[in-house]
Amino acid sequence: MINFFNKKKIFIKYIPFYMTIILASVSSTIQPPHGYAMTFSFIPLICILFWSLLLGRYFGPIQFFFIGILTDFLMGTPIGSYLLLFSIIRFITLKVKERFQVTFFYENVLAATILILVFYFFNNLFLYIYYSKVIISDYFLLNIISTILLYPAFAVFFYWVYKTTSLEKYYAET
Amino acid sequence: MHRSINKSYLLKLTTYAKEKAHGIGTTILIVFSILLLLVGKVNEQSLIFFKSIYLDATSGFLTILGKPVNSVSEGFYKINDLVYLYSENQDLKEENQSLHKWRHLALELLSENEELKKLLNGTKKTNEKSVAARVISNSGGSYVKTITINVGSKNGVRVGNPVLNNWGMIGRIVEIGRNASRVLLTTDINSQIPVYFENSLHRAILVGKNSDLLELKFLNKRVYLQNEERLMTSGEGGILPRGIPVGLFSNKINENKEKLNILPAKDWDKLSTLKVILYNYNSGL
Repeated sequence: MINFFNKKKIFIKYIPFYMTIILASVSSTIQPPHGYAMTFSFIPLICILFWSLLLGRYFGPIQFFFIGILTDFLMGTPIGSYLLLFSIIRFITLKVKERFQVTFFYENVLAATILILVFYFFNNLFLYIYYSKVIISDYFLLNIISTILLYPAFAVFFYWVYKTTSLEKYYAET
Repeated sequence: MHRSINKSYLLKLTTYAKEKAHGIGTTILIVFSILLLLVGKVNEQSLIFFKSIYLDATSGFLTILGKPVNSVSEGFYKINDLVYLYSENQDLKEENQSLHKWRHLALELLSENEELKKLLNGTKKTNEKSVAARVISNSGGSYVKTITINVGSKNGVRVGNPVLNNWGMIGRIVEIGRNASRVLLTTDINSQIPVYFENSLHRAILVGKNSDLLELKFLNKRVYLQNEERLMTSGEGGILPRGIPVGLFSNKINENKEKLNILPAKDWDKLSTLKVILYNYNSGL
């Protein structure tokens, strides 16, 4: 019986990780609307930013490792590229959380908006270093804007999950 | 008292150790990802094994996962179609009228072609081998433009094989598993295809820009280009077969521009049923 409760506790504790994996996989099967050059919001980024801003260092590096590798496989990018970008954004997110004490919902959205811009800056910097190319197009801008605009909707849903599962309790115990 | 001091000291120490461990964890993650990237850059073949395993392992899972998602998005598209029904009908009427003209011309040319072939005792071209494919997943980002399709080496597909929609080539196979393969779309920043203009026969390289247009490079200066002229794969390099339509030159999108933009295959981002040409670049079709 005790074993069962322990298993349940571990399962609930890793809900952010499972949700990120599932949503990243689902988002890759969504067909972007016709006429927008296959541009769609970057769901894995939304997930990792929200949970990193909320849970801080409890959303750990091992979870980031699996999410980064999975995103690389899903997108068909060179293995390690999203892992690197996510690791950098995790580092910056933790610094932002430490420095500004992001607690309210609007603070979370504001911080995430800036971090999304930072992520895309590093994304282009990576492309320049790795491929010697830079993406400057309307669709790149569309990708950034759609990710920023979709973030609040996902944040509301994630907050609801956070409250319903009482995730804070599981992290407070550790 | 002594015991409580020890306890709080231990707690502080544990918290400090945990924070340090997380900091080191991020550093290790960054170093490891750079190492992975370097391995991939130096020897691309070393990671292909893992990629093909992943493609096989997830193709079934993503197909099942994509079914409810696709039904919802199809519903949205149907609503969208209904909204634009009137304007689409007008466009189709116009297109139909112009197609009638082309149909007559095509029939005339076909009969003329047959007669000329008879005169030359020409043999009929063998039909190209191809396999139909369905899209499982797509990258959907601004960084890469790739899709995964549900055919692999089991169906005779090889790396480099061109993938076509009803209009022309939309990409080529870059990674292959047994049951699934990854297609690099022509619009991707890493896509470079040797092409020629269908009528004027000028040769150039068609490059992707991660947008809805392609760019033409290495075209001779001072050439006259006809409006609405198709660009076909030239087959140079031997990886792609010759004569597959891959883009369309239009004066409309090139007015007052230094770089030459090309329209990719029509409806390249609609991702319905596709066709993979089973081209063996060692022995031809």
